[in-house]
This record gives sequence, C-alpha cells and structure tokens, in this order.
Amino acid sequence: MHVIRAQALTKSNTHGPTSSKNRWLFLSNACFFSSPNRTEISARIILSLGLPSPELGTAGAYSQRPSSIMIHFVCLISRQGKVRLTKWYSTYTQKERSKAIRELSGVILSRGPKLCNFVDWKGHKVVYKRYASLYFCMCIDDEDNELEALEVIHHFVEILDRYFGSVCELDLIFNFHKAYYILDELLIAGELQESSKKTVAKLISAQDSLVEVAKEEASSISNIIAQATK
Amino acid sequence: MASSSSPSLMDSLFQRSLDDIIKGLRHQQAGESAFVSKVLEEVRREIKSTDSHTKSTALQKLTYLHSICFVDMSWAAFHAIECISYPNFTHKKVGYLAISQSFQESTPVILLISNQLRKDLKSNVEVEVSLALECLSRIGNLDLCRDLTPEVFTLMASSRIPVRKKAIGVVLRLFGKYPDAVRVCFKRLVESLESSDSPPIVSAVIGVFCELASKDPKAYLPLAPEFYKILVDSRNNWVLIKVLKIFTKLAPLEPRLAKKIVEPICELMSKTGAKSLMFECIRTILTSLAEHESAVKLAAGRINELLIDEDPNLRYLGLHALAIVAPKHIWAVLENKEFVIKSLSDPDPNIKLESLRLVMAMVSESNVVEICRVLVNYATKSEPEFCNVILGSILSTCSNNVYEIIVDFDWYVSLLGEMSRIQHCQKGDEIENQLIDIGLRVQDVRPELVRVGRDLLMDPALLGNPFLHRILSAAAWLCGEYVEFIRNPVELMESLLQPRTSLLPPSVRAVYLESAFKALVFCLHSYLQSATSSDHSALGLSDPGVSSQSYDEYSGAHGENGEESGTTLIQENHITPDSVLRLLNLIDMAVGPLSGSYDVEIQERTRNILGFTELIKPVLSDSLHPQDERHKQQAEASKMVRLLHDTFSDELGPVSMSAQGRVPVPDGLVLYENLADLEAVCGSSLPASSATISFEGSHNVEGATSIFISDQKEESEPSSESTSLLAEHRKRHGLYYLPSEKNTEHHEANNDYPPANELKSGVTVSNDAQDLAKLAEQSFLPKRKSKQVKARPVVVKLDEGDVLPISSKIPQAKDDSLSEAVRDVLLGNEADADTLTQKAAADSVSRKKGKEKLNAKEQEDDLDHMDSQSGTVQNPVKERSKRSSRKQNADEGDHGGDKGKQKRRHRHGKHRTREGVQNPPANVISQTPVPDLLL
Repeated sequence: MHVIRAQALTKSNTHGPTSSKNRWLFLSNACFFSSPNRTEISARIILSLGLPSPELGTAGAYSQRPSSIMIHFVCLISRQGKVRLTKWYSTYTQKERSKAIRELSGVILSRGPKLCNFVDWKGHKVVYKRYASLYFCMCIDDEDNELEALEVIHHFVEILDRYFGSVCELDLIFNFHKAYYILDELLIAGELQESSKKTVAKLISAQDSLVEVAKEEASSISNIIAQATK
Repeated sequence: MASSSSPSLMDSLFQRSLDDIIKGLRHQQAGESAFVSKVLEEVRREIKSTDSHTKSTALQKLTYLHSICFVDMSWAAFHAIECISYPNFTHKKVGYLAISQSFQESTPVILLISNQLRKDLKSNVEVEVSLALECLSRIGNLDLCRDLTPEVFTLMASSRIPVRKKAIGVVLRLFGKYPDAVRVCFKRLVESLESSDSPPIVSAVIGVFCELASKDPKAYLPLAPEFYKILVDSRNNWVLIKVLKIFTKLAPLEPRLAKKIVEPICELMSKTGAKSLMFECIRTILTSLAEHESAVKLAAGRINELLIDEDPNLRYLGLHALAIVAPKHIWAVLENKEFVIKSLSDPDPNIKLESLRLVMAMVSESNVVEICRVLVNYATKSEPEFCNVILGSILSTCSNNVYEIIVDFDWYVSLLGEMSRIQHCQKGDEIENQLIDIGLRVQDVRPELVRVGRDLLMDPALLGNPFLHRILSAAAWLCGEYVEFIRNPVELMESLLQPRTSLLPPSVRAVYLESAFKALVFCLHSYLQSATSSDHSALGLSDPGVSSQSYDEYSGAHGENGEESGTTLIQENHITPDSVLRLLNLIDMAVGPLSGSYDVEIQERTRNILGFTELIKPVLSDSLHPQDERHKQQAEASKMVRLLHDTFSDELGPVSMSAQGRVPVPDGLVLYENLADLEAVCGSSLPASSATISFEGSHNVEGATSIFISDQKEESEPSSESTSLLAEHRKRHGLYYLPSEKNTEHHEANNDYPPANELKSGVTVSNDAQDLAKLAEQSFLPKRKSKQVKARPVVVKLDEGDVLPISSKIPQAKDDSLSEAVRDVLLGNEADADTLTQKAAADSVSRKKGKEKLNAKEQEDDLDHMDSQSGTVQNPVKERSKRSSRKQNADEGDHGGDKGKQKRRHRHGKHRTREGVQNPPANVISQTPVPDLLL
C-alpha cells in the first residue's frame, strides 16, 4: 500500500521543478570525471611553480573535535602557498587556523599532478583540487564521501565561473568578500545547502542589487552633505 | 565613542579602500609584515569613526587581513557588532562577514548581537534574514541558540524557500549547542522531510538528519520509512548519498531494515553513472550489509571496476573499499591480490599506504613467509619513509596477539635480523622489544636468536648506525643470557669488547659489558668443567661421556635440541688454557680503561668484571701451571665460577603486567598513608635513598635493566618484595623455570662428591628434565593448532597482561541530552515540546528583563508572529494569555489547513512509530520500531 503511494508521489514529483536535478546528474555523470579542461578556470596569471618541502601531518590535536558537520573548513591556496580564502565551520582558534593552513599547503602543494586528490590530515580527510593556479581544499570527516566533496568543490568553482565570467585567481583576490557570499549561499553550517547553480546565481544577484541600492544611497549628494555637516 | 584619536573628515575622505590594501600587499616584495602592521594602525584609527562608511570599510580591511594573513581581530568585536546594526545593507553585510569569520563561542561580546540577530531574523528583506541565519550557524553558542530558537522555528515554515532551507541548516547548530531545541523544532524538521514539492528543502533536511544520525543512529530508527521513501524516490544524487549514509548507520540496528534496503541500493549501484553515488552504495553495502552475500558480490564487482580506472582517486577509493570489506570477506581482497601488490609501487603515497594495509590484512599463517619476503624486498627499494612504514606494519602484524601467526620462529628471528640491516631501518625500538620478547617466550628459538644476535654483534659496520643501537643492545643481551648456545664464546667476547663499541651510548654499552661478563663466566665454567673431567678421565674414574653430561642436563632442562647438540657444543666450545689467558688479557685491555667512566652503569659493571678477574686470576694461573695442589685450587676456582654461573643460569621469564597487583600486601604495611611527614624527617637525605635503590638493583639485573620492555620491569629489582613476586610467579609458571634447587643440588653434588656419584645424580636430573619437557609438551598440546604441518614451538603466554586491555567501551555519545531529546520527541512527548517552547521563551524573556531592552509586549508579538507563520488559525483576540497561545500552537497539527491531508498522514505514521518505540527491546522482532511499511 505504502509503496504504491510512494510511487505515485514519485510520478507527481517528476513534474515538479527538476531542472536543477537534471543538471546535477549531468554534472556528476559527465563533467566531473572527464577532462578538466572544459570547466577549468582560465589561467590568466601564470606563475612559476614553487614546491615547498614535504611535511606530512600526523593525527593528533584536532582529532577529538566533535564532528557533527561534514565540512570543517574550506580554503583556497595559490600555487605559491598564498592563502586566498578561508572559511571555518568547526571551531579553530586563530593559531590553529594559521598552523593548519601552513601544514596543509606544505602537504598539498608538494603533491604531484597525477596523484589522488585526498590527503589524510589529523584524523580528517582533506580533499583538494587544483584549478589553474589555485588549490581548492576542503576538510571533511573521515567517513564522508570524498568524491562528493570533490563535487562540492567543482560546484563552487562552476558557480564562481558563472558569476565572474571565466573566473581567475585575480577575481578572487580582489573580490574576496564576494567569494565569501557565494560560498555562504552554497554551504551552511558545513553542509551543502544549494545544489542548483541557477538558484545560487539568482540569490547572489539579488544581494548585489541590494548592495548597489545601498551604495547609491550612501554616495548620494544629500548623504555626503549630511555627513559633512555632522 | 568619539575620542580624541577619532579620524577627521579628511581621514574619512582619503581612507584607503580594501582594493588599495590588496594592491599594496601584492606590490610588497619583502616587507609584507611591515605593510600589514601599518594598515592595522590605520584600521585601528578609522574603525573608531562615527561615520558608518568609514567604519565598515575599516572593518572590511581588517576582516581581509584576518582571513588571509591570520591577523588577530578579536579586539574589533564590538565594532563588528556596531556594523551589523547599521541600516545600510552594505555595512551590515561587512559586519556579518567580520563576525562569522572572527567570532568564537568565547568572544565576550557575543551576547550583544542576540537582539540584532533577532531583528534581522524577523526582517522582511530575505537577504538580511539569510545573513543572520548564516551568522547564527557559524557562531551560535548555548545562549544565542536558546534565545533564537523560536525565531528559527518560525523561519522553518517560511514560504521563502531559500530562507526555509537555511533555517533548516541552522537547526543542526541549534541541536548541537542547545539540545532542548529538539523539542521545539524536531517535529517541523520531520515534516520538512515530506515536502517533496521542493527538492532543496529535502536536501537540507537530509543533510541535517545525516549528521544527527551519525552520532546516535538508534534514535532515528522510527524515521526509517521516510528515509526509505526518499531512497526509492529521489533522483538527486546529493540527497541519495546522504540517505545512504543514514542507512549505513541504521541498518546494523535492525536486520529487517537491512533486508529491505539491500535491493534498492544494489539497483542504485548498478544504475547510477555518478561515481560518488556508486561509491557510497559500495560503502554502505560493505559496512552495513556485509551479511548479504549477493550484494557484497555485486559491490566487489564494482570495486574491480574502480581498481582498473585511470583516475587515481578511484583507484584509491577502490583500495579503501577493499580495506573495509577485508575483515569480513577476505576473498574480495584475495581476488585482487596482484593488483594490491602492484599498488605498493604506485607513485601516490596514499595508494601505497592503502595497499600496504590490504596486504597486511591478507597475511595468514600460511602465507606470512612469502608476503613478508615480498614486503621486505619492497622496503629495501623504497624511500626511507615508506620503508619504515612497511617495516612497522610487518612488525606489528607479526607480533599481533603474541605472535599468533608465526609458526616458524627461526625464520621470523632471521627476518628480524635482516630487517635490522636494511639501510633506512628506524624501527630499532620495536625490533629490540620483539627480539627480547621472543627470547623470553620461545625457548626453541633461542639458538637461532643467538646466532642472529652474534652476526649482528660481529659486524663492526653496524655500530656506526645510531638507529641500530637498540637492536644491538638486544642482541648483546640475548647472547649474554643464552651464551650456552654460542659456538665460540671467545669470539663473542671479542666482538662485545671490540674498540668500536665506544660509539655506543652508555646504556647500551653497559649491556655489552654485562653480556661480556656472562660470557666470561661461561667460558671459565666450561673450561674448568672440561679440565676437571679430563683429569677424571685421565685418572680413569669416569667414562668418556661424562664431560658432556652437564651440557646434556643443561640443554635437556631447557627443552633444547637434545643430546646431539649438547655434544657438538662441547666439542666446539673446547677452551684451552691459552684462550682463557687471552680472554683475561682482553678484559684487562678493553674493560680496564672503562673503570673511570663517568656513566654509573658502565662503571659499576666494569668494576664487577674487573673485581671478578682479580679474584679468579691467581687461582686460575695457579691451576694452569703447577701440578701440585692442583685439585684444591681447581676446586676453589670452580666453586667461585660455579657460583656466578648459577646466578646467571637462573632463567628469566616473562612477567604478567598485573603480577605486581597480585603480591599480597604484608601485614602492617600501610600503603596509602601520606608520606608527608616522612619527607619532613628525611629532608635532604633524599638523594641517598635513591642511590640505594639503584645499587640494590644491580646484581640480578644482568645489565638488562635499561633494555627491558616494560612488562619485564618488575623482574629488574629483585629486592625483598619482588623476590616474593618471583616466587609466586614461579609457582604459577613453574614449568618455564629451571628447577633451581635441584640444579644447585646437582652442582653441589658435582663439587662435593666424587665423579662416580655424578653419573647417578646427573641421570636423575636429566630424567626430571625430560619429564618436565614432556609435561610442558602435554600442557601446551591443546593450544596447538592441529592443522599445522610443522609443529609450532611453545610460546609462553601469560593468561593475562600480555595483551594490553583494549577498552571495549564504545565511546558514549557526548550529546546524550540531544539523543534523549530526540527520543523523547519521537516517542511522542509532544506535550513536552510546548512546555519547552514556553521554557525557551521564558528563558529569553528573563534574559531580556535583565538587560531591560525588550518588554513583554514585544515577546508576545514574537509569539503572534510565530503562530501566524506556522499557518495555524489566527486568534483574533489580542490579549489572550500566553498559555492559550501555546495550546493553539500545540494543536496546529489537528487544525492544519491546506496541508491537512499530508499532516494527518504524517501524524498517523507517527502514531504507529510511537507504538513501536514504546516497546523498546529492539531484539524482539515483533516489537521493533521499524514500521510495517518495511514489512
């Protein structure tokens, strides 16, 4: 009985808004494991390759961290080891943060191009992927799905790409706050919240227009006069 | 706020923007930190501005430096809070970013944002609500979560999908920090599971449940039907992966559920093209459905596909999946044996490690020899780090559970020797421990151990490698302790005293010296023995076999190779007077200079040796040359040597870790009294007492104190209490000790009685020894595995304390209160939910009262708002009591308007599950909480 009803529900489901699902399937099926050229960020900044010495992190201090979320942190590191973005979903002190990034960039940047994209790190797993000159890294729980994390990264990159129009490292350097807002639309509390690129784009543009309005207000002559005469 | 240092209008007008900072940073070549500190100085000034634009720009710059350069910004917490209260959206946004990047739970001003968050959560502007939710999800602590639970609850029913979805995401944080929020929000969360009209919501809810279930799966078993429906219906891979994760946790708890989900999962696995989903299916089957043979077979097929893929990620995950399946279905690993071995030389260290783990999982009694051979070959070829990983895993696997898988100990011991010689080997400690451990536990392997040890000691090149020093120390100890198996003790003495031993650290050198002492005693003993017997045979008082007699006894008592080896030993051992002289000279030359060593251990042992040689020399040199008084002198010499020899031949056995605990505390000894007054009495004389302790230990320790592994430690101090321990231990494990009294009796007999008697007593002793060996054999018979072709030597096992007690306690879920709350809610204590809403509201009211910022009216508005949001029938009467409003809230399910049908079905399902849960024993199949949907 129940099963039948469930099937009926599926049918009604298929008429619903499924465009996002279809895209997602497409993404997982074809894009992701095919050659990365198609969606890879164009490399406008070509910089020399500096490989630091390998120093493998060992399990320790962070492993007891209560793990009730999937993604512990996200970070973007350039090929030179410069940090471009960090977002922490678990609690780390500022000291731990800077240490973690230092260790990880040491490990990840030293790995060759044809190796797998996972690194064991302090009882967690760090999944990373290189797009042009940037490494996108994501620290997940040991039991979480590495491929899924790779897909989240890819998803993020595609959204950035769509937003900035062929995104490059410079875009992220100069629009660092925007990168955060986009990430915030994608993830919440360490979980993926939106799997549709279109929805994210819509939400971001809504924010942008609000910002524009606010800016206009702030820079209007009357406002400046008000400020000056305060 | 405005202080003297606050910036002027000119400052605001010419403030550097974030872009300026970024550009400036990029142009800095070396003095980056100087630039950063200059910017920080500016920011400190600008942030105090009253102008919102100046302030927010300063905050933005600071946030940038904080997240990129890891600059401290905790001092600016209050300014960030000011920024989020600005009406201008740009400024607000900057403030929120700063807060979610920099605030910790312990940030002191964190509670000040509670009101602003509430205001923004109730805002009509969707983006503002999103900002506040995001911020709460990041920084929410107990107080914030408690205060804002009602608002989040309201938003969970918002008609705006993005807001609703974010609110659901925040619930995870609420539950984690404030478990009572479960009673308020859980019902709505479950309802959201069924909102099949909006996929993002389902995706968000499943994400939350996935994390919740990973902590305490049992509580979510009643929701299995809902999850099952999603598993069957959903086409969204994100959702499916999460649902699979949930089932991975649930399936082991309920066999019928496992049966039910096996089929859809297998179908999903074979149909899907997304590797991530496929891998999740594989993992679910392998971890939670491993009893379903056919499903595992299917999964193994998919694993094989992964293994041959070009993508290293998939190969790695394939190996990882094999590692999951290995404990239960080793066949799946064995099928891919060749691939696994091949992966050992993969360029990717992760893949190498994973395949090494698999190789170790495949090890069994029958193949341990060949696998170790392969691995050691790999180790010699690979780089130092991986080489040591390999060696480490060989050592730990082979020694697992008291060398369970080792049958041929001779082979294993020579493997240990071989491993020590590998260039990059850094496993000295572990090898040392195992060598000594095996020496103590396995009698049969001692000749081989001594041979391996001797080879190591002989090689002067090894002394230069500091990683090998520990191994050498073990080898020296073994050769000294079991010196009777050495073919040429003189040669051993030479290698123990070779000049390059000066490279050793003092602790190891002390072991060398002690071993040399033992070897010396042995040499003299056997020399005197042979001298006596040759005299006797010359006098015709004894038959030719007598000289080997004592060795027979010896080896017999040890359960050793028997008569033949005993006789061969003595033939090769034959020590001439010349060699004795040479030995004594060697000791004078090599040991003499050490008597002035700064190291106490070395000095002490040196003195022992030198003292002994001083004593023995005149007696011996007399007995070597003049013919008269020979017997008397010789008797004196042999008495001395025999005394020491007896001391050394008393066998050391393994001691149970808990042995100390079994020693009865003597009457009148107060152990748990405070020793404070003792300290006062002794005062400064503390060093003296510690010195006595160390001297006490030095006699029977045989130089092995420092190298002993921890569980032999008790052995090292045969002071009064540990003699009783030793006695007790001997009583329990008497089989493995030489019958000491008999032994001394025998030697006394040797001394006091003419050789005619010796034969007799010797025979009885050897009979005894044979009996003993037989007895030992019998007692160990049942422990042997019948299928073994070659008999496994006896490995001494203590009934306890050998293996470290593994704490079998499953770590209790920290959030007991959370699980409890969830269980309560699922059990149907919805009534509680209302009191809790009340409680939460009351809490926040009381907090507000304290701050005098909001009045009760506003609080009531809260509740109004909540009710209207949750789609219940509006009560037109404004001044209704809070109580009634809550009642209304509780009844919302019954009065549900447009969603009524759906809700009723849900309630129905709930009712059913409630019945199930009220009969908790999950083992009783008829009463398990899995609802009939699955049956």
